[in-house]
Amino acid sequence: MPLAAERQALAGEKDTFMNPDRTELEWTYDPPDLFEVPYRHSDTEVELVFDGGKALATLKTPTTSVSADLEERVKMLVESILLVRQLQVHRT
Amino acid sequence: MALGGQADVVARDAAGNILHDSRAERIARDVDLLDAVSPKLACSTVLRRLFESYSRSVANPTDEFVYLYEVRDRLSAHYGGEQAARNALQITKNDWQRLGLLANVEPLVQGRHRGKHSRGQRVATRAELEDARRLVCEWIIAFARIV
Repeated sequence: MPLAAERQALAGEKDTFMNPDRTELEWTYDPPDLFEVPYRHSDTEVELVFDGGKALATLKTPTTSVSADLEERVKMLVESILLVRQLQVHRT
Repeated sequence: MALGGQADVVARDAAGNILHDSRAERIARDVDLLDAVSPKLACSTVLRRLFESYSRSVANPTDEFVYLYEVRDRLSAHYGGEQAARNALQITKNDWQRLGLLANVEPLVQGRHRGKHSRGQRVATRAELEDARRLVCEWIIAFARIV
């Protein structure tokens, strides 16, 4: 299942001296109609929404600098959800 | 114009209240499984590998049974043998052997030993494909529930 590791710029960043209001990471997946309705998933670190070919992760603790470890954990969760969904619908 | 799959069914009483909504029920079941299983893939390498094998079976339809059989192999290796795997996941001998038959014995284009069947080779029927997919899905989900 193609998952383009396309991390979006940090959203909500005010300037380099202030904390951001929100930090979002975004990936794309295909096919865009993989989920019948938008799917939301939450854990201690992130709120995820899968909708229309876009997986949007909003960090629960906004930051201007996302560590590689955190980004990898979120990406793994995104990939895991796509793998489970693929099992449900049997689609590439 | 093409109609896809089965129709969703909504049953209502005389007042219009919904008694049964197959789409809503399917979505709720799907969400329950996504919520319960997805986080476990980060904690269990075996579980992740099972899902990856299934994913490769979807992405490579001409090798579908090769990758579906990988799931059986991985479960067997994880539990230390067929009997232990079947006991742990409550898989019947018939079901276990059914996948073996499709992947190894039937002269199928998607099978693991297609080279042995240069004559009389055939494409798996829809029923055979659905059977193999259903079995492997059930086994993966059974493993995911107890891991």
